[in-house]
Amino acid sequence: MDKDCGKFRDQVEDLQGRIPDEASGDALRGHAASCASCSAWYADRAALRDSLEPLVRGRRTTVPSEDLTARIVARIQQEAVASSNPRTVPFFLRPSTRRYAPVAAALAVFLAFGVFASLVAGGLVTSLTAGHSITPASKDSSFAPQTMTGSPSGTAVDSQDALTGGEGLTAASRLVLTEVAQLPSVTLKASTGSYTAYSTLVSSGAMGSPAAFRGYRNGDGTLTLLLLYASNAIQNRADAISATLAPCASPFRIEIIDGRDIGSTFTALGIADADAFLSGNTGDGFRLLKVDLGR
Amino acid sequence: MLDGRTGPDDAAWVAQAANGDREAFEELVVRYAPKVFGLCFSLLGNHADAEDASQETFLKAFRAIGTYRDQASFSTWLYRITSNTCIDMARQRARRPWVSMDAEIEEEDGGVAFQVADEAPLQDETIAARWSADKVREAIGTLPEGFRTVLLLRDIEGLTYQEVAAVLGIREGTVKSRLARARAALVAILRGMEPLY
Repeated sequence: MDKDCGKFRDQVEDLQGRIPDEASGDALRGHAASCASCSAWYADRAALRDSLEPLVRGRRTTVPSEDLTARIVARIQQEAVASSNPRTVPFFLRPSTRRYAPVAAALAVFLAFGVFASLVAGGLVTSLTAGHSITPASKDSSFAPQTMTGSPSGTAVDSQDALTGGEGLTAASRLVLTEVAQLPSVTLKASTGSYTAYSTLVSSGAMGSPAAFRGYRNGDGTLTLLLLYASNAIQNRADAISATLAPCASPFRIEIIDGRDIGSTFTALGIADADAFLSGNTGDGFRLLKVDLGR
Repeated sequence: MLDGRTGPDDAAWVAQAANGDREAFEELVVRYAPKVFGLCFSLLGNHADAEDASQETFLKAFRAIGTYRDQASFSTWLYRITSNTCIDMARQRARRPWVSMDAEIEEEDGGVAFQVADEAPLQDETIAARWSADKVREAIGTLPEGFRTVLLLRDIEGLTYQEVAAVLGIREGTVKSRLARARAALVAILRGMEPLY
């Protein structure tokens, strides 16, 4: 490729891959007519340009959901609240106390060693390790949600004050939540395991931005979360939620329910207003994620 | 083009946001959310991922706004966060980004379907060779990340060389060379040949 060819190609690129029909394109057309290499290069370049055009148009006609900005603003507000609460930072990580961390760590090791030594001397360590093995959180096997599959209490979780300030929930979700009766926070917090799992899930942001969300506290203290997602996003969400819940001590179960089965699922759960929940988000484009959190 | 440049109005909002004014930052969200979403959609290829990435981008920007310095325009700074967020997201999900360019459309019955990008014939059909949108999408998905990102920012998003360089933090000459190689590789893939990078 000689200097003229390089110049020709640079100029064509500057013109978005198109030689203008006007007189300004005469020199470029002249070079292409006299150079087989550049002629072939331009044919490929033009074909690629035209092939990309539908994708450019598709991109420009695709707009975000109407509530995207509202959801982002809600997350920012939650972030601001969380970051302004000094209790969210463990005391040993706060700047004012962090400099003492090495001393504290050394002291902790010293004390732990002393306690361990005295337990061994008393024969307690042997019996503890023999009688209790720690296993990863069960996904399903130990979780038998008797009341959950029959009927949730019908009382939605109040994430506004009972949980962690609604972190991770969208504006749309909160709207749904505020439409239903609210539980006193003390009642909800009594179900420690499921509450902890739910708090972990909410604060992680793993639930993302569901099209709709509801949480139900069941009679036995377990929780049932119903999250509606676009079909092409639901597997990612299920994976993210599963990964977030895995370290939690309490068992959990996740089901992905096809759009056509959402109505029957709501019926089986004893929830009457599926239509209100779906708000027209129906068809193959949407699927439901049902997350059961055990105690 | 990055038409959301830091204008006089933006500059005031950005300065207030950098000083911890949350409402000023929210104003920037309102102004830039559509552009950020568009960039995410170009880089990730589907609506849901693009919305997730948009949200993540603004959260990161909110956390970092205090460190923003006026060396680059706010839009370039924000788009760099966007680009990095999308690349990280694609890596974490361990699948090739940009395999679809779907668009939600509302049907008469109120349902939502997913419509692929328009594949109607172009008015200018002087070029005989043309590859289908699906084939092009698939081929772009096979490009190495560095080439794919440059090509998407320039040829789909319409950024200038200078803007692509600023967003990716690379030199303009690098943008041009990567772009030329990306296009050549894309044509080779579409012709069923082994691409040379």
